[in-house]
Amino acid sequence: MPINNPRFVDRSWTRDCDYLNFDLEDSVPQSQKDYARSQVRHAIVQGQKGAAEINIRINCAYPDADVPAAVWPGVKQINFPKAETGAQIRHLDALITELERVRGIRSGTVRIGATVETTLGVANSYEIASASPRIDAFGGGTGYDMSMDMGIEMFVGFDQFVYNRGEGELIALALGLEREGGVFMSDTTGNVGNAELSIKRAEASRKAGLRTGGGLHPNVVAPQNLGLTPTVNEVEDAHRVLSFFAELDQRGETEGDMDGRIVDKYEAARAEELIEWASLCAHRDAEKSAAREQTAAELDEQN
Amino acid sequence: MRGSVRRSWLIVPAHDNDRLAEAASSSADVVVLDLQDTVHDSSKHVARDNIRDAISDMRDAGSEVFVRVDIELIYADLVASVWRGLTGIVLPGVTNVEQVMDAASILTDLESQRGVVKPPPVGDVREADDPRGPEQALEIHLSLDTGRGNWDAQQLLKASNRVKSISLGRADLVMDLRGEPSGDLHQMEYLMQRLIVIANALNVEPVGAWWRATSRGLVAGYDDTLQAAIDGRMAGFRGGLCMRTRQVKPMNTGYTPSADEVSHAEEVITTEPTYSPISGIASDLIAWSEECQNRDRSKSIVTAQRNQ
Repeated sequence: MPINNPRFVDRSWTRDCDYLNFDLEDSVPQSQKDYARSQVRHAIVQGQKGAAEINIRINCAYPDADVPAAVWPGVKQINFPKAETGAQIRHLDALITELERVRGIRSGTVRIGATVETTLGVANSYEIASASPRIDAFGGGTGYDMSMDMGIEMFVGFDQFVYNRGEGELIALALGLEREGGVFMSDTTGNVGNAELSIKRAEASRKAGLRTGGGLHPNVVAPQNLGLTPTVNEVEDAHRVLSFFAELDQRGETEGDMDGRIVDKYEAARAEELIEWASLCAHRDAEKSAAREQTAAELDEQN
Repeated sequence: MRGSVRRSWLIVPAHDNDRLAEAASSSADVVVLDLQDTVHDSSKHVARDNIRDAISDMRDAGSEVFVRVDIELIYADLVASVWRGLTGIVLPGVTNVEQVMDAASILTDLESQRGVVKPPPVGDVREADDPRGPEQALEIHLSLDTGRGNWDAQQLLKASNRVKSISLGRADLVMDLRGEPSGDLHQMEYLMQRLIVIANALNVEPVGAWWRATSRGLVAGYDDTLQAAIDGRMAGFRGGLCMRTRQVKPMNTGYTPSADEVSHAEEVITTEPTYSPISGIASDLIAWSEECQNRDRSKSIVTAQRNQ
């Protein structure tokens, strides 16, 4: 969300976002950049009232101006858009390292989110993703800027980013990073507040092993949280799979048929992963809910 | 790598005598005796003990024989596997060049100690007793089942001239390759195309099939397997892996051009000029169809001999 808009920033804690991406880039006009930079510390406070993780998106063209304005205690990640080379990331890493030292932030706390949005970035994806240990997640180039750079339409009925997505996710796997991205779902409207599409996309992404999603409209927060969280039935099923596999293992067998489906060590590992993820989601929801309640109580008291 | 017809690669747990017996009558072009995923740790020794006889049995049944080894147990598995009749090994879980070189080096030692060379094509009566050349070296099939392995596929393929074929394996790819609403597996199209491009660029055979989300891949039923094989052939594979004997027939069928395709190709080469790529594609299809027929014939001859 644009960090120069107090109406958005001051209500950001109520949105139930796992993370907030306060923007200094595309959503802030040039004339407001200085003002936007001055608002970072206020935004951190506002976002943390709802226990959201605070990310700041800077401009790729002037990291030397943006990074000192963005790296403060409480910031978890600097998002670097239109990443095109490893050198850019190494420079960003050096800036952050120095600011962590000067501002008393534990070394390595601030992560880098490198976003690929140009064809040059796609071509240099491996170099970018491996340029800093601060990068712990990576995905392929999609979105508005990518479409513009490729000279194609963004909202079409087929996946025009097959190569970019594949390349990005394979690189993440190769480097042991969290995979970012999404599953293609046909969208020819471009409606960024489409809750129905958002939940379908989030569910599909989760089933493809992805765990995050972003959005530009508050309408899509709840659908994304819901779609990316395993359902109660799925968790129950995963426990059954694990029990079944444990019995197989005890009998010295490697696979078996459970209600018409094959269970083997891969299914068991998938089940284990799902249970762990469901537990992390529940923990996160509880954390956010407690923070919002506390903030609301404090506000009541003040009033 | 062209020359061998390997449409169906049937993976069989090497400790399971019933499954081994089924495999011997499956008509698979290749039987992969498994010492890895389908064999529980407590049965590894039984599986290793079975390998030597199983190689001979499968060979007598007209199949080429590979052994899938466990990369963490590679020495013991190769010692149990390098016997007369073996064509090569399937090496899963590879993430670096040294692992391929290590496997190649162990194979070289065992070939030398035991006088083992890669056997001639099934049905061919000649034995290769001449001085050993690279073409007689036991093959390595790389099952690229990790992100790192796939990303570094080119280097891994170049690590040994024994590497003659590759496939996408399970492991962390299957952990992440999951169904999408479209019915395709997540990232399957990209990874498949990448594998095919790299394999062809380095002259090795890409092995695989275009599995869909609903078919549960290597244990799919007849129709899903047939479709995966047909689509796989259209995508650039010439054979795929499977784990059930019921899948062998649809694999062999799907990877063999149909009579209609052959007759269409024959028509094309009579109407198109010989320099045209369309004519070239048609000629390749006819040649492949003939190779498939020859392979089926040689299997029939070998099994008839065995039954006499």
